[in-house]
Amino acid sequence: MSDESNREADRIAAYLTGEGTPAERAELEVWLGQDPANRSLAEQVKAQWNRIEPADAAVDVSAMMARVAAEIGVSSLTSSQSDGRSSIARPSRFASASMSRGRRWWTGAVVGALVAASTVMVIIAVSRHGGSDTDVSSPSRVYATTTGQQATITLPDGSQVRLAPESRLRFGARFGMETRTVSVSGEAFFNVTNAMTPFVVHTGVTLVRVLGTSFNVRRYAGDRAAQIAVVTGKVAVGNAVHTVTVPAGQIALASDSSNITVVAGDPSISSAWVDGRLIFDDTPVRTMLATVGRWYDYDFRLADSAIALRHVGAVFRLGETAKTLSAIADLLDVRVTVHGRVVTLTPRQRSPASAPGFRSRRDSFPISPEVGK
Amino acid sequence: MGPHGPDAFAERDAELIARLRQDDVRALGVLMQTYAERLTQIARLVVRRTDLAQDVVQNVFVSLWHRRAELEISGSVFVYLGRAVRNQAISTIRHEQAQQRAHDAVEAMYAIGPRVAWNEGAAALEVREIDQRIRHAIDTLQPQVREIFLLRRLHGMAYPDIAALLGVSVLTVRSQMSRAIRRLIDVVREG
Repeated sequence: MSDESNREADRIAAYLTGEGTPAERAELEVWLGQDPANRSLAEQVKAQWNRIEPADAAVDVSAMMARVAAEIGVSSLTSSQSDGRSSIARPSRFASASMSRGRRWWTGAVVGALVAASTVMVIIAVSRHGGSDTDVSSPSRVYATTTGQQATITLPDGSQVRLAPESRLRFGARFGMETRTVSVSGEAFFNVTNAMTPFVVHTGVTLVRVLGTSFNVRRYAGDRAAQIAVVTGKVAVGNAVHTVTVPAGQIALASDSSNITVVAGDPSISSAWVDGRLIFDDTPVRTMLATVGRWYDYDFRLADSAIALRHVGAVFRLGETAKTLSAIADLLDVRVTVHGRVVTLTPRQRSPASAPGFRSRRDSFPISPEVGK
Repeated sequence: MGPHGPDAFAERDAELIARLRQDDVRALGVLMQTYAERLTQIARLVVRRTDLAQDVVQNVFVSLWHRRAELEISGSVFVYLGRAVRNQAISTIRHEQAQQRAHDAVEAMYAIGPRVAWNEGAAALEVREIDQRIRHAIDTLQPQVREIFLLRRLHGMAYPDIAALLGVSVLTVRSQMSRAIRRLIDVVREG
């Protein structure tokens, strides 16, 4: 194997995993920009990499625990035989009823099933400098995604977090000891297991408190308010000013210092990315392009800024880059030019024979009220 | 990115080990709830069968209980358990090597997902052919290269965490990872 071929594999490994020193990352960017063939190769390998998924062989942890209990001669690993009273008086905070086992818990069917399973008692929220973020400030674990990346994190209580692109999740080493506290920036979908310990999400000074539910939190840098869309269960959202309870099917918009607005909406639109779709409903073009850019690692440039102010609706399937670009071209009536990660949108000429390149495809369509589900 | 690494719960785990030494069987339960699933997946990378992998992990927890009095774990409990699981898994496959071959074909560790390739020109049939070749390419990697590749890809483990688990250097993890990627590049190029 030649040196150059080794270096190529090193670079693409760094491209796929995000590992490497800053110098290596910089060198990788240069290499990707040097020759369109380099980027194309990296993307083709990434497409294969993305399609490798774990087999769905379920691991039944409860059954394993029962067998271990039988082997060591106790009736259960979740209750103490010598001290049954204390385990009744104070149920183990770790004994969550539903440790999520399926790796694909976020698919539609499973999310649907969770609606039935999830029961929630709530709800307190803490003001700006509330005490419960000590957990976050102790030595912590940080997960971050860049544009075009997403991640799934299983917390020690079995709760799962899906991280959207350009997002960060942080939690302390003592997670699960007294509280279950995490902080998030960007966007994340939470599927929280039921347990006696409240689960608290910080985003900026907004706080979301739950016991077991699933919901989507979005607060990117530059967003004026945090958006919390509740899919199942019920959560409490608080900021410096006050606290509101948000039931399933509602969306809370919480700015840092003023009111929290709760509106009826379709939380499944906010969390559609978990199912591999991006849904926009009456969304400013600027916002839509920022979101699409984040997911596909594109930097959209508008030749005519008037377009940015329009409101549009659309559904895109994640992973279908070309179809998404062609749908955007049709939706905005623009020509699309792609140079590396820069995508320039130019208004189409009025003449009917113009606009070569991207054409309309059935896959994406303007959203109508019924489509929003 | 993905499941947290070995050091995320050091403090809590130290407390659990202390409780284990005091014969608190619930501490064993909490450790299993936290780690059994991921340990099973790690074992499965070696034994390539879910039932065997579960047996391996159960045995490690039983043995942890029997040795609780003299437990001395310095560092991450997850890495400690992970290494025990790997050792046990490796000795298991030595025992079962004959049967193993037959099962290899039956139960692959991973499946190729339903997502459509970004390159939309590819006909469905062609996509399936590439899937087969990718699967074959990964399955025929050297065992350690394959294990490192899948720990990273399927379990999202960071390089230092993989290195700790396998008892090799981070440099080795990196170069083995590149070897796996080299194979993917070759498949893409041939396609």
